[in-house]
Amino acid sequence: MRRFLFLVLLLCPEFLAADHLPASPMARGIPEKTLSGIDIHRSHLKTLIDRFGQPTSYKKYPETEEAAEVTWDKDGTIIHATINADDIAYAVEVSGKPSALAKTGDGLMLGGALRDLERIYGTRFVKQGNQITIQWKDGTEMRAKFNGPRIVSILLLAEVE
Amino acid sequence: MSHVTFDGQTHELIVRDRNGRVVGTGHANNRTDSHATLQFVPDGTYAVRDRVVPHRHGRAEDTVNGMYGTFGIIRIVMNGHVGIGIHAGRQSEPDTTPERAIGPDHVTKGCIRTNEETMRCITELMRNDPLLSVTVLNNRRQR
Repeated sequence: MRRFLFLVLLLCPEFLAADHLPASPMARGIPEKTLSGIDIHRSHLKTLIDRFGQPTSYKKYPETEEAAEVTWDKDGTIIHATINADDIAYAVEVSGKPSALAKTGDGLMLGGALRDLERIYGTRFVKQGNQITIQWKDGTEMRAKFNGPRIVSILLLAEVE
Repeated sequence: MSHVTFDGQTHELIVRDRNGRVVGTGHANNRTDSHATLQFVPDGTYAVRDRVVPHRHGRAEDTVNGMYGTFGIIRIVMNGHVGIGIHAGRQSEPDTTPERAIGPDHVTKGCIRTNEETMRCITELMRNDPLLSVTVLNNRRQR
């Protein structure tokens, strides 16, 4: 049944982008809150600098028109945070080299496989090309990009509607 | 059949009845989060998925300051996007962009946001005069 649902989502063109998902593919359970130890509702930029050191790149009021876009390169693991006007890292993306830093609060890691994602978050998600999007009822969203069987980037985004 | 037009330049939503008569206008915008899978609704005419009543999420969720407002969302048919539409919400709750926008200007995931009065006007009209299409004009990324 789980494989069937995955196949339906894969083949059905209506389920391509997770804007406002209907209830059926919406993930159950408690929404993921952290990636690389960054809490997308609570972590301030200063906390991140204390933890990761001076960023590799820091753009205030960048072209994305968010408050700031900040990147750290930690031995090949790239951590990118989008900072909102409350100084919170409301969107975090990890890519590059798999490491202990590059994992979600529930344990999904760069380099992981689809079965790891399903084991941790279930099978209620949307597949678009090489990307899987998980959306929880409160609007929290996670996107995992695959290169072949392995996860090469994870984006965790606080609720935006 | 009724019809709604969103003008991305004047930031206005124009509601017309089956005779083409304008029965309501209101402020609307299409400001989106930088991570949205749809940065703005491209110009064009879209079929409507919720033609007679908006899609609702329950009283607890559909509130004046909730994601969608009290009338829920009117979803349009857009290839590749399942949940794009018109809704209100966040009437007095600022978003977390540097502009701290509220109401129709509060950022969305791609949707067109308007105010409660305009959603009320559309909702009352579509009950007896189904909303079959939405036209988007002069739109662009609104941030």
